[in-house]
Amino acid sequence: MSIIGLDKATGRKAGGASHKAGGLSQALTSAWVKHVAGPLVLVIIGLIASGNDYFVHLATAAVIAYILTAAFNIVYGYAGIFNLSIVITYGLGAFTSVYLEVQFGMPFWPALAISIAVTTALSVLVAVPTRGLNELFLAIQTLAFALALAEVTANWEKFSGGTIGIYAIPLPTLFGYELTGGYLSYYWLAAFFAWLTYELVLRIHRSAMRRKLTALREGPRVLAAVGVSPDSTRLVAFALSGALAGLAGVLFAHFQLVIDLETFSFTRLVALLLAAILGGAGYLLGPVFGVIAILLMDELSLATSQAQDLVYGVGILVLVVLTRGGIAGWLDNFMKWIARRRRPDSSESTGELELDDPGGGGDVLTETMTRNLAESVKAVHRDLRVEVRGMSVAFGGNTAVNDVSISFATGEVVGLIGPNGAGKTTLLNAITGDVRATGSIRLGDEEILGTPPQKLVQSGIGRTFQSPKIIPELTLLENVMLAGDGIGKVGWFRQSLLSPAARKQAVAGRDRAMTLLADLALADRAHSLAGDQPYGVLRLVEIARNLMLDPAFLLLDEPGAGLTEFEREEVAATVRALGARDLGVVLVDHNLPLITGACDRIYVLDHGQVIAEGPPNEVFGQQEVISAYLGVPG
Amino acid sequence: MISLVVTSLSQAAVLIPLVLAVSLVFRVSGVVNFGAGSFCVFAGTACASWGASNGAVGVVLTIAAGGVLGALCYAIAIVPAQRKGVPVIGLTLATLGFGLLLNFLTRTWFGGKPSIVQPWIRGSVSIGSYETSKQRLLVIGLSILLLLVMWFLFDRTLIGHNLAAVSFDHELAQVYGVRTMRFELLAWVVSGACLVIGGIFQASIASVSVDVAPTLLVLSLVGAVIGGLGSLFGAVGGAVVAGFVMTLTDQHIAAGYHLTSLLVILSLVLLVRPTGLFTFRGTAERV
Amino acid sequence: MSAPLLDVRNLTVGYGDHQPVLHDVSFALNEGELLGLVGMNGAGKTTLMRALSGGLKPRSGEVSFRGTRMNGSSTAASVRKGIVILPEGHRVLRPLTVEENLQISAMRLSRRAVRRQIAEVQDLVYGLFPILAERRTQLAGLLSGGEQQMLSLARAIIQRPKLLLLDEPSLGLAPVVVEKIYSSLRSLQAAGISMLVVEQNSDRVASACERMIVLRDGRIAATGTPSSLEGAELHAAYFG
Repeated sequence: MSIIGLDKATGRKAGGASHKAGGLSQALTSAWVKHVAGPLVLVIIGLIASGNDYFVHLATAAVIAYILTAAFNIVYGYAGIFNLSIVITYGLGAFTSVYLEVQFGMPFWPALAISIAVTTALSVLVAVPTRGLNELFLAIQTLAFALALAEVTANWEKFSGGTIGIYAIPLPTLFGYELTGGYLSYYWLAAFFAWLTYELVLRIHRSAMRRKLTALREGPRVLAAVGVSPDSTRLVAFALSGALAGLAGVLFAHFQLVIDLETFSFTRLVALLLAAILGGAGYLLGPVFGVIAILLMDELSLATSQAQDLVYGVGILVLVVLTRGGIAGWLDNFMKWIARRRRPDSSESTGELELDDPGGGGDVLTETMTRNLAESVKAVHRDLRVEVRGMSVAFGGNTAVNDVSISFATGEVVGLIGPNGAGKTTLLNAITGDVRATGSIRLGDEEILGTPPQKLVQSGIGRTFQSPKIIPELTLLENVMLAGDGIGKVGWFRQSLLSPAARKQAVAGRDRAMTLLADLALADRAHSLAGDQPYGVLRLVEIARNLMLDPAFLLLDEPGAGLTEFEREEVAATVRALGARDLGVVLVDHNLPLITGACDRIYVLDHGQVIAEGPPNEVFGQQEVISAYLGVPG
Repeated sequence: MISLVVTSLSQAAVLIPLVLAVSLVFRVSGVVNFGAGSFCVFAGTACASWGASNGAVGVVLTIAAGGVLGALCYAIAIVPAQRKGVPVIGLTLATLGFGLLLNFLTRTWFGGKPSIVQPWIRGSVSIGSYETSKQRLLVIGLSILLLLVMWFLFDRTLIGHNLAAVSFDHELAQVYGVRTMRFELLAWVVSGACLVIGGIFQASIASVSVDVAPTLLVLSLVGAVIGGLGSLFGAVGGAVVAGFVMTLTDQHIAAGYHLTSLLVILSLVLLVRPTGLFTFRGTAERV
Repeated sequence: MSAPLLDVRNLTVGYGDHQPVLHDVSFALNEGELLGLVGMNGAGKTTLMRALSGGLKPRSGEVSFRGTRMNGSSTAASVRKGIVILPEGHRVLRPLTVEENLQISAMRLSRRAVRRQIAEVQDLVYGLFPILAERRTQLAGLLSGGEQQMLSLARAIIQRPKLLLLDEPSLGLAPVVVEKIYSSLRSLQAAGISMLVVEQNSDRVASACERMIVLRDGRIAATGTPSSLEGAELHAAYFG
């Protein structure tokens, strides 16, 4: 664990380092260090800079730039939304506060609050029409928005001063004391807000919010799979970054004392992008490094605008090709490398799964699994049945699933097999609402056809995917915890602030997730990044993530694909154990040993239709089934 | 009325080469060229400077430079990043970086001041009560000519069919024996030349300076998206729509708000028909 | 007997950092032979095809074709050396017409050269699939699945293959069309083209080939003539 907070995904909760007591105290210390380090550094900078006007100026500019970059880091770095309207949001914060003060004589503090409210609202406004756009279109739309808003602002001369800008900016006062931009007193004001920003980001980083934002970056389907609405998570990202950008804008206006639209132009946007990416998008300290680096670059090229283009251009080109994760990412890797050299024995094991008794046969494995899972899988929903009636799915003119009726109940493991292109996965997708279908699906007495995926998860039907939808940049534990983040009573606001209630919920979630991982014999890997893990582990983690939500049914899409024989046996054992714990499991696979070993009953699909049904041994005796695979007639 | 049509068409005439260029590289490489504005500005200033004594020389040199720059952009910004498996948004950033380098070149070689390309024909014509410069009409004509050339290239030649194959499916094009890298490079060269032509058009009926690069960028992207980024001639339709929307706003609704109205149209299109107004099944994939 | 046309030795292939999909696969294909390759889905058939056609770099092992090492050459380069693939799912250039599809596959940019190359095989192509002559100016995307598969095959013929890799040529097609495709494969074999045909449906290939390989879990489970691989033995190799 890095003390300096370079962690992108390895960042963890207080006490998350390990469930051993020693690890707990160590992690607490480290979290404590992080909370103190921020303000301490700001104070030290202030003390060093005091006495030198130029340094004070530079330091103030830097902390304000930090706030802005942190704002962009939330929306782009964490949530992966390439929102190019952030600079104009920043500008709007500046102009709004000045407008309120100059036109209405409003004091600094209420003007600050209103400006932040305005930019937050504006940011949400940008978010709404860009819902569902892919990243390129989102970039275009937000860039167009930025230019259009700049146009409107320029035309509103009272607000922006037109092309000339606004000069007479009132000074903020604190207890009757005037804080003049460029003086040390103003630095302390800016530093105070920078500290608040840092604290907020740190809390987000340590809370469920980061897991949700990271999941959003990896794809909305992951979020929906754990019952979290991707849309509202997205809005939160926009709102948070809008608020911080507005704050930065207000501070900037009162620091410069002169503002014009030119300041919030494309060039500023480029500098911001560069700072965010150079520093390390998605890292806690990325914005800090980014701002320092940009400051150095600007000072070195001595801010002639010509050289600036050259330096920024080369900077971007080199960065895109050479690094992922910028300075923070590079340092993070470096620290990991050092750590590995220091303790070569703790190198991450990426081999096959190891169980206590790998020599035991399938039955022993199942028993162990069942026992392990017994405590953590609560059999809450009993006697439920899903009835699929007359379901059809058509793509264009192709009918992939044709009038299929199947049913499955809690406590049984049902297999779904068939040759290539038989429509197995499509059927699964139709049940989970990922593709449009006709027909009917009843869960108990409730019609659930057409329910959006995140709602379906909440009503007790979880699923896994052909290629595991696991977030590679989170640890296994965090991946599992993600499923608990959307269900509690604590909303996003308290989650972001890491309120006591949110903390409590997170601790409970972590314990549950840890238990589940331990039951699946993954405890020793809980803190490793998912991206470094073999496929078999990810499959189990995806199952564990579903179990967090206490589902009644679990639909597994080819859990055996890409696994070694041993891993497959383990998956089979897990599936049987789940069935024994009264879950209903639907298993799509084409590995016959896996299917026959795990299922109570199977359906055979061919050309989108059910051609056979029954216990595995009976079904495989049927001639149609063999000929569906082999084409051997008679 | 005539004023509206002519002004709109001349706006569209500048945008047509730009959207063709943007759409072409999007189709072939999956990248949106965020350096497009810088290409235009470079072209306008270069053409004004190189063509100071002889306009034709300036134009030819500039178009050649555009092709070279397109190839350079592909070689510097795209290929290394593609090899590294950088995601699309990273490639887009790389084109932005290349655009900044171009801005730097424009400033160091030609100074950053607004430049004007001398009109190729002087004088004006009056249509009814409306008077306009001949240059404006010439640019509209040339833009249509370019459109025809591009249509011929893509619809009638084997090169065009190969490009269509590459943009449809890289892997399948390889299976057909198409050397995809070469055609991708070609697409960037053609796209560079088109961007440059748009820049020259703009400089010959108005002016260009480094400061307008972002605006030109946004206009070309928005125009292309409105019409359909994935289809060359859909994008052209978008450019015409954008031309009319902007002129209509400036002349009849509220002067100085053309970007705003364009944004409104863009948002509507993205909400209602995200693939673009002028994409139809069958034609959309073809060119 | 002379050296085989295609010699695959200890081929191991995988995606990314994941477990390899193919483990240590070795086999040879002789000049003029039609070799069948069968197995369940997930057995690694398509991966093997992609590795042979240059779409996927092997982790270890060697593929040599007519005595030259092929590892790492791109698909387009492999095509030029004579290994032509028909990917699964009758994939054609849907936005182009039938004729344009055929022209591109000639791999030249001069109209005259293209015309000459197509004329050389015209009789064979249109003789096998007269429907393509009828549909010359239609967009390939509007053809039926069977017609697209015929177009794929026609395209492959124009590419003058020494070795044709067919990935599930019968998948999703009507029996009549499958019959047609297989009968044309026999004419191609008679014309001296060697083939590797992948099917999930072993019966289909068995009737067409002299030798068959059964792939299971990324390893070769059995090799032999179709008659030697019938009944229980095949089931065992197939299902495990």
